[in-house]
Amino acid sequence: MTGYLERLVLRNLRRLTEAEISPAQGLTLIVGRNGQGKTTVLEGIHLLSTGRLLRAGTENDAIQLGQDGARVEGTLTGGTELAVTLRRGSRKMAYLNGLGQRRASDLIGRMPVVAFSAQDLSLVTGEPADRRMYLDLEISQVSPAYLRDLTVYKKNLKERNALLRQEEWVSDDLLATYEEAMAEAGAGLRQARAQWVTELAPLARDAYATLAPGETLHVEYLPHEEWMDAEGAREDYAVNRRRDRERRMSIRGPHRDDMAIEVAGVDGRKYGSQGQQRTAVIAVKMATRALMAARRGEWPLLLLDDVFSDLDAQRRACLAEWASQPGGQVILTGTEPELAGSALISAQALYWVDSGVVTRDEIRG
Amino acid sequence: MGFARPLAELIAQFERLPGVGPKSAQRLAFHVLRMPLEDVRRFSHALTVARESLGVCSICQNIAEGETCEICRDGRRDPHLICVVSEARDIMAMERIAEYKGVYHVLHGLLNPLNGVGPEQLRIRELLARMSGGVQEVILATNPTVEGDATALYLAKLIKPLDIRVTRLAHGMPIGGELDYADTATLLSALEYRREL
Repeated sequence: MTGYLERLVLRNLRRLTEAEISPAQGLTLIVGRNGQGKTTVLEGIHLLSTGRLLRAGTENDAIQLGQDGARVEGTLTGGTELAVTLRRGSRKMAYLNGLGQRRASDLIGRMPVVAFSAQDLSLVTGEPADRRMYLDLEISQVSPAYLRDLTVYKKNLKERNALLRQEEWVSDDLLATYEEAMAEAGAGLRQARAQWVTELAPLARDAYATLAPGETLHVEYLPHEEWMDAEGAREDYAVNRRRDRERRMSIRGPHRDDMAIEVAGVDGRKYGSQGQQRTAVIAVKMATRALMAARRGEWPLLLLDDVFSDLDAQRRACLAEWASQPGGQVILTGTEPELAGSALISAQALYWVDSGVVTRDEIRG
Repeated sequence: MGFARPLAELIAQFERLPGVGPKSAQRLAFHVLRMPLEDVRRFSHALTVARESLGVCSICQNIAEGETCEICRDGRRDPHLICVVSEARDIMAMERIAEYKGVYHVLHGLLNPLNGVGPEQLRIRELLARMSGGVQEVILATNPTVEGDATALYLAKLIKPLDIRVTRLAHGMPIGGELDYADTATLLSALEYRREL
């Protein structure tokens, strides 16, 4: 339906002044020493797909030093063209077939991706906000209704909080107005999140068992309150209105939800090695890819950024085999020693990145 | 610096207009210098007359020449049917369809606590004052945005208890539009508000 990414052009994004790659339909490797610009290639794809960069930091920082702006363009099979431009001191812009979109997030769903990079460890070790971000981004990619509910919920929450911060004309009627919209959209978010995690949990458990036999991964949705429908939400917001007014902010609702990720019954933030935490995140991401495929009927693009560091040989082999399975497009970065000798030898395309210059491997490409 | 005092003053005045930056202000000012004197007089006269003779209709808050606006004075319009809009220019859009026979009410904005706009900043009290005159239906024609939705919902909360019918403009597919080109938000709402044939 949407097809795969046939061509990617990056301009003035971080170290990459001008780079063009034509990913294979299966596995593409991007190889180079650290700090050469490998991750930036994936970051460009992520920006096209979700409107967001992969790494923390401002969009201004992603523009190459001494340049006014950066641009990423992608062409999908079937000819659909996506583009995102960053400009210093100005709004980021998204284009679909050359047509400017209202928001960068309007491209979400055109080219679904699942990404795994070092940053994603926060899914296990980070705050509830990190896990909400995971849920919001992944579900939005398969459900425009979810993205709409999310946008509506966030905007109304902001308005309600602004209302709670001032005393001049805050009233129950006015608060109830914003609660009404939050209840409708919030119920949509809760139901979609519950369903997503219910379907995700067994897939993640199986994926973890493959990567680390003998250990069990438990994933569960933790809504901040019990309500799951608009009726319950309206009631809950109304009952807590007085407390919200005292605290001058909305203290209850889906914007406080969380997700449990536990290995062998222990909270992810507390358990053992970084290797274990990484394995848990990889299992969740593998499950996410499978779930997206089931929902959409086609594989999302998989971006794996430097996944081999911190993993033992067995898990590396497991992951390499998984990444090179037929079905779906995978783009993977790594250093040469890490990739050598693994199942990744079967890659259909290979690019070298050195000092911000991307070149296609003569023999492999 | 450089410009004669009257010219500098003219530029400064243009700059005070919305959407006019220093460069445009300069261009406009130099254009005025090249205009025939008669045109300039007509222009400045139009400005003064518009400002002096136009005010806000004491009933519907529309822009009006005199105490009330043309629509409120028109005996053929039904005063029991009120269409609530955000801005006076929205009335022109509604009037173009030449189907609506009721009257209007202009709020002069939409609720937006983030930008400090609350009920007090809008002409809501004036709207409620009109509800006693046997009004049968209030049509809320605010934009389908978060601000427009909130404003409509808030007004409905205030008006419905008065036993007056409150309706909202429908949203959905644009006529003559192609499904293929509709944005997802519009399509979603068109699906949710689909109707029986």
